[in-house]
Amino acid sequence: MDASEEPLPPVIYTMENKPIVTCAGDQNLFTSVYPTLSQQLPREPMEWRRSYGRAPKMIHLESNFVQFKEELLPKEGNKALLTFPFLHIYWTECCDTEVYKATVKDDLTKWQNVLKAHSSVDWLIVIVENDAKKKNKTNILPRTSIVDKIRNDFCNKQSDRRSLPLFSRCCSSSRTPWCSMTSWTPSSLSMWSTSGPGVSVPPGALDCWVFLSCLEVLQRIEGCCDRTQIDSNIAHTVGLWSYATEKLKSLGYLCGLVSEKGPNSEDLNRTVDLLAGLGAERPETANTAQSPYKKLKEALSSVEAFEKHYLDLSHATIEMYTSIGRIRSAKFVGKDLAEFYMRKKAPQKAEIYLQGALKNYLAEGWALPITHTRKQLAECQKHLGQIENYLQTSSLLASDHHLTEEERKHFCQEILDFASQPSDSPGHKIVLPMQSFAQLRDLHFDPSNAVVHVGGVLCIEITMYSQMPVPVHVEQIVVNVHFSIEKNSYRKTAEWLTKHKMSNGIINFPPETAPFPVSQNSLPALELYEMFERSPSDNSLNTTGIICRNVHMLLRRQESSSSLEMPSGVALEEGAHVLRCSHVTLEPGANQITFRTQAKEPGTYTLRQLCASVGSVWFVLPHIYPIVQYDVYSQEPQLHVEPLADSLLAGIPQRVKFTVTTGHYTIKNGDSLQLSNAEAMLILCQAESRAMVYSNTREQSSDAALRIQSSDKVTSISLPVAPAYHVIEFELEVLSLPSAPALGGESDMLGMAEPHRKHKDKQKTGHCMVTTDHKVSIDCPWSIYSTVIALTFSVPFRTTHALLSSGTRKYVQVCVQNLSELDFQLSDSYLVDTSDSTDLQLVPLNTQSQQPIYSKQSVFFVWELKWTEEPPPSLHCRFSVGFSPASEEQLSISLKPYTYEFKVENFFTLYNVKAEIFPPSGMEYCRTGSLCSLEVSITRLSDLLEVDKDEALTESDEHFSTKLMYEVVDNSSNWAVCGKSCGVISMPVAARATHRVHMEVMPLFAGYLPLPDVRLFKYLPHHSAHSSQLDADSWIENDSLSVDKHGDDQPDSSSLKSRGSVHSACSSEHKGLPMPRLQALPAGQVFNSSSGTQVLVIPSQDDHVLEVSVT
Amino acid sequence: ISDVPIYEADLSVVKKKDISEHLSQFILHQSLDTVDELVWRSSHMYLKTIDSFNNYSVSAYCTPGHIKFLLLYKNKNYINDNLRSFFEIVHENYIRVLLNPLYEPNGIIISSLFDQNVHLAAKKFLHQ
Repeated sequence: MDASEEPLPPVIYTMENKPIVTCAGDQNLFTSVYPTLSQQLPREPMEWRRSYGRAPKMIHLESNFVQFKEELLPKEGNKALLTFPFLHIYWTECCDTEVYKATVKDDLTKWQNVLKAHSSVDWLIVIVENDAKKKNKTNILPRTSIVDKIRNDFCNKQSDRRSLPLFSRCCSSSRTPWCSMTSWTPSSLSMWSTSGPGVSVPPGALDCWVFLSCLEVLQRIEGCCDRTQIDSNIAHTVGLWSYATEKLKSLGYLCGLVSEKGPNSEDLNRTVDLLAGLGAERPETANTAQSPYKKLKEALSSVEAFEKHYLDLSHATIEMYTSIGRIRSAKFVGKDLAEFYMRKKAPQKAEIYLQGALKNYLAEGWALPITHTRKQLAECQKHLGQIENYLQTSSLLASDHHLTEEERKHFCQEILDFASQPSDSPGHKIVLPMQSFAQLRDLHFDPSNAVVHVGGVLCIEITMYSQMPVPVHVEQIVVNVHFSIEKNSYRKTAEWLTKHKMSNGIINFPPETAPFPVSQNSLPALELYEMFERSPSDNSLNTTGIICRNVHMLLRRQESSSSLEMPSGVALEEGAHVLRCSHVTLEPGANQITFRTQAKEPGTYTLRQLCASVGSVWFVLPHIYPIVQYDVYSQEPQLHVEPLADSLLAGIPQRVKFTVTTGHYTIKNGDSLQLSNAEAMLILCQAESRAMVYSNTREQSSDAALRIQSSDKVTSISLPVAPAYHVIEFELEVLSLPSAPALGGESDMLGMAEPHRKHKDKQKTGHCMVTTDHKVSIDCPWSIYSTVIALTFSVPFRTTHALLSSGTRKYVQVCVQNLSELDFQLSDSYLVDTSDSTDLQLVPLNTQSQQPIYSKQSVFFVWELKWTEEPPPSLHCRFSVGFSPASEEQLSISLKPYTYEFKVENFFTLYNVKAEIFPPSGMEYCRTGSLCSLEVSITRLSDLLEVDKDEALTESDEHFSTKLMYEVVDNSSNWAVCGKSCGVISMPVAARATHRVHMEVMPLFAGYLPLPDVRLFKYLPHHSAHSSQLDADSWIENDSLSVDKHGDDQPDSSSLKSRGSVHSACSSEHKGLPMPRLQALPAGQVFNSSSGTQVLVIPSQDDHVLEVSVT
Repeated sequence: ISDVPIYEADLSVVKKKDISEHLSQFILHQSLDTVDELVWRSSHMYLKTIDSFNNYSVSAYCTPGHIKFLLLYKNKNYINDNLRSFFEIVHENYIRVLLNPLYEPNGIIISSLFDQNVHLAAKKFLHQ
């Protein structure tokens, strides 16, 4: 039930009809405080907040305290005013939780329930602290805990209600020593005052009352506490100090005590009203020298006294706030103080408070307080004549979007007005940070890679975002550029610079969030670590916690000396290199500004500062970040020659690319490249050659005709006219002549007749092409020195040859292998005998004149050798074949054929070896396991020849004979040779002389078996000069015959008989004695007429027995 | 360490106010001093009414990560539970903002959803 809503009758209140207040709880306690209470209560002025929008009033009230009885509570509907109990108070001095739980709580609950039943909501619980009682008990909890309990038990159910401002401040100082009020509902107060006299309060009366109340409370506290107690309770009392200061301030403004001229008559009237309303001072303080009453009266009496008291209070409050770390509150009071100083025309005193407050707001980024304080600061700086500071603050305010357009324009105009003033000292500059005036948003280079050659033109376009509310004419915008030379860095070479490009040449500058420096970002992150401390004895955990390792970083004192608003520290750089743009009007928002410069000295140019001048005011961006650089380079002219394909092929026309980088040299009319011709390399001059001319950045291009003149020694290429820092590109065809004398070495290697060397060569080169280098010396117009260029050509073919025999008929086979990736057409193959013996004829067996040879494939050519008289011991041959790329159309020039030279020796057949196997007598077929006879006949085919004349040849009675060794070897283990498998024979050197050898062999398998090999060696006597080539140990120990056997076949180690026969062959010789040597007969000298023949072997009935006996 | 505002909203129904916008910021800023002290004395996140200025009050709520929510209102019969509920809903929505991987902690909240939800919560708990 809210009584204030009731329409009230206009009764004249006399204090006989005092409002009824009931008292419950500890009656003795109440009786003890009653005398003081009944005396003091009427003296406390109360605010009477009246309904229906009427102004509140301050009133004094007496009340009638009666003991609480349920009957006193009004029945439903009964609203008799005079008997209505307005407030119910419960009194207790309980300070023991046990007692509280046992009795007081129940009692309180009952009381509350009764009140609730009658819808009485206005109640108060008073706990009185009794120091004497407290001392008697030891287990007493602090009083506050009882308060908290009561608050928890009873007050939470109450809805929060408005309370007097003073009250909430008192609540925060909850340790007021004598009493604590947990609930005071003001509706009862307004009810009280409703019934009080209708006194109208003059403006400021409330302020006076609050001021006096605050000071009286503070005085009371000071009276009963010592200094240290007061100091430790500043947190609770400072609110009252601040409140008193605030009220005194508003009284001062109200009574004209703060204005420059002092109070006018109206102000004085108001002051008189207020002073009169204060009434007489209470008797108990009337005689003291200092009292809140006297203080107020004095403060309102004169401008000087007010100032003194106001400053005293303000300084005391600021000091207290600062001492307990409530910096924000201190700054807020300081800002009021600054306002006061400004009113008093003392801007020099105001400045420090405004700067202090502003710094605090800036650090915490509170936009509106910043704007408001900055505005005050601007005024202050203007009065102080701090021109630079004022202009800077003005520029910050002109760009501040929290201000109105008019205010911004005003501050902008202030700057422009100053800038247009003729300066006292010409050339004097006022340097201000650019940030608030305009911001650099982006920058872009043209050319976009920010690289330009000496003499080239570079454009830099920047976007400046003007923060000013109106267009501003700027005399000049200047970029200071720092020049440096980095000669030793590869990154600064012309090659690197012209090849590496930036993505798009645009550099964006992060929009700065100033003027809100977020200090969090500058602080390091917390470094937290777990901490465990264990007992050293049993390793049990003693303590655990978290440690901050970088606490010294986080808790260090913030720099307080540096002011964020000071324009100091912005220094104007004066450099030799500047980019300038004059007479620019910066419109509000984005503006494009273009700088143009011609590159002079090579090096790196770094953009350092950006300045904009408006009259004598210079706005400076001290550092351009991220770093912006451009490079100027100088380049030496250069010539590059490189093949178009991966590798150049010899013998066919190949394209080669010439690149002339002009650098700083300008190609004039008549400039040419002079190529001294290499002997084996031709430069093919085409009818129309064209060259492309590019600028270094490849942006522009043109083409020009190329004139090429050739003489025997020199090829001259006339270059097209080209400016500096351009590139000329053209292609030429070159031809490396195959098998020319320059290729002699390779030709020899290819044409090796010796089988052994050929084998080694194959291993070494594999399938790689043989290469040849041609060096060309080129004279360039820009240099007196010749440029030597090496071109490597690969021979596309590899050639091998072989001698083939059929009895005494002889054939030469040439194999051409194409190693390249290209297909060729071969034509006109020839083989000629270079020794030019008329007797010899080479008959080609290849009929086709044209023969394609595909990539990675081979083609064979065969000639038959024919002769009529005695053949020469050796034959020198030259193979030549014409070739051209298969894919291409008719070539403009005729190509030289590919040649290959080789030598064939000892090609004439001297011996015919024939082997035959016969089944055992009486049998039709050979059987496995049964011995068969092997008949070998060695027949001499010619009389004595030149080649026979060696150490083995012996002469007796004009008959010549030589020593041969035969050996029967079966590599396929089809046959077991029984008895001696080798032997030395003396062979007459006469046509048709035949030597027969008979031996026994046993077939091990059934089927058509090839015959065992019969090998023939020349047996040289031991007194030969070459005997040292083989020593006895290797001869005996080595399983294989350490002789130059023909072919790669190894003696079969599994053939016991065969190996044993070798031992027997040499066992006749004693160890350590010189031994005879074996020499393989050249392939052409022995013809095996039975090679390839086979014998049918049929299986025996009990072949399994035989298998065991043999293996 | 630094109390940079990361979100501000005017939740009042009546657009005409008897207090300037900058003054309300001054009051709120100053009240941070009280919050800083109360935070260490209370185990609750909701700190109730912590300050008043003339007929304005400031209620506060401090998250475990020490993000502070301040509500400035003209003395009015707000039920404590409603204020608490309002703050709790703001807290919940703030956590959602934090969960956004694109939001940098302590950065200015520009999420329109957050703003919308704060206004909805104000409508539900403060504008009855």
